Amino acid sequence: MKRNPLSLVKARPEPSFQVTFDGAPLDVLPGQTVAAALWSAGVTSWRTTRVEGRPRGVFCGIGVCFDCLVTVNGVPNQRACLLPANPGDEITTQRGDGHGAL
Amino acid sequence: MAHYELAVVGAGPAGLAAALTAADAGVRVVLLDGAPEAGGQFYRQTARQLHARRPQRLYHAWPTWERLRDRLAAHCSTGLITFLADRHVWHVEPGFAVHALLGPQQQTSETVTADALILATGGYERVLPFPGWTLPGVLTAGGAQAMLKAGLVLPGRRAIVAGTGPLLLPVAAGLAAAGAHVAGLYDSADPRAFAKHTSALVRSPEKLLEGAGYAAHLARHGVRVRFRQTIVRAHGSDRLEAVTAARTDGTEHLIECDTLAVSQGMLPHTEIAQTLGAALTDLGTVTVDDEQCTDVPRLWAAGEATGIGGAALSLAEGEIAGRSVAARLRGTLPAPYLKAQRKRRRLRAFAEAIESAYAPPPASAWTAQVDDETVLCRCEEVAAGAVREAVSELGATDLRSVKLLTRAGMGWCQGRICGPGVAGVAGCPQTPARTPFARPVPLGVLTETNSINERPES
Repeated sequence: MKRNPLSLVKARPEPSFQVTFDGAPLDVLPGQTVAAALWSAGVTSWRTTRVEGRPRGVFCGIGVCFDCLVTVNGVPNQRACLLPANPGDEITTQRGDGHGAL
Repeated sequence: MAHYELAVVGAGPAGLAAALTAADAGVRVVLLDGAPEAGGQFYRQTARQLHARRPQRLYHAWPTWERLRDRLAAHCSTGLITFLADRHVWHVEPGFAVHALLGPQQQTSETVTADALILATGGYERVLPFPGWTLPGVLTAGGAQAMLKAGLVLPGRRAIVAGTGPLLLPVAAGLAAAGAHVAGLYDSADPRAFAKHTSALVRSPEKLLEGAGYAAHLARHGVRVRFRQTIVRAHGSDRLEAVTAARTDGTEHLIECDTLAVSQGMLPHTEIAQTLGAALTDLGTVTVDDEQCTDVPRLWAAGEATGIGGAALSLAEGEIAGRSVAARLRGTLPAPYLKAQRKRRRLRAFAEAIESAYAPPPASAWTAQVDDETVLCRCEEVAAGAVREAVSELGATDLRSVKLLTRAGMGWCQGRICGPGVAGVAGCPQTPARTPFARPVPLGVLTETNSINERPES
């Protein structure tokens, strides 16, 4: 088997749970952040910017840059790199400031 | 509101060493950190539920971490140290009142007070802008490492590691070990620069060995390290597909990749120190004396916030700060602590040599690559053209004027990420931005937080 991060450290993760990303189900390992869960599913962007509508994802990875903002369970502007994923989370691509047309 | 003799902000190597050393001397300590576990960025812990049985494969100097972790557990069980995880400190009042948002939702705040304060706030990475750097798939080198350590995930399959600095080696080695194909490490530094600093470098052979270990690891994975080359453009429509690398002679070549992990060294977190009125050095780090005291009474600082130098130096500085606090709180002088002081002197000399050899490229070199369309301020989407216009047409001569005219640095990150890029393109000195709070705070928290310095209403 090809090496991966889990095999490198001989991880024995707890059983995975499901969340959705823009309605599609994803399997997530307990302990992973929303950003880690999305990366595992091959997703690297989950926000479009306010002005140009450009895609963004993780940049600093440690909570400093706020590029990875995402909407989870209807709450926008959460940092995907810090926020742990929870069973049943509805993760959605955040458009602009995430507050829709005000 | 719980009161302690000492509050330590940051549970990385510096903060842990400080808290443990002070507690060893009987000081009652509260230790706060934004992460769910102690360790900081260097020892950022893999999530417990992932049950990593060989975590040490992702870390350097793991036995040192095990000792720190065990000592912390022992002091927590006796109650001498109170460790508050998931606390993002957003403001500290003189006196001291430490206000922290409860993570990760950050909708509520709590306050602890302390007689003395040690800031061990660490640092974050500097990334100089280039066309395409906002594409998903481009991320900081440390960010790729943090996500790997904490969540055991990779950003992509085929990665380039680039920029400059000692961090690039462990990041590339970690990505390769975890199964990514690292298509190359591109460091803009000139290896000949190291020759000027041989005396400082050879006095820290363990640090040289650490670097050699990573280099050998990369060689085993077939990863080539190329010096004097810079990534000048990232290509792709909605995500990264390739990068262009340039040699110093101007020749360029295209490399396919889905990940670019990039950084040009580290910057210190100094917001809290600045709010409390502590002096900064010309390098933007917190000024400290031999005991790690700042020029503010009862305020100490240690680790990357006082000068970028790595985990071993942070540990020495933290120990010195912890001993100083323990003595000063009891009204005595700290006994000489020659071992840690010698170690600090030697590792600072090493760090200065490394910093000089891995100096980020001069603005004249990289700003030429930044076309007017390149976004500099990622939060407010301010392009280089607008910053140039603020200087040439509107007469801005400092970062603050550029910010007021263009909004560059006004967004979520408060200029932490774009500061070096905007300063370089504008041709202004990079002055640390003064922010009233160390991080964004919900308005509800501001209205509900009681200040210890507020006068009661009459």
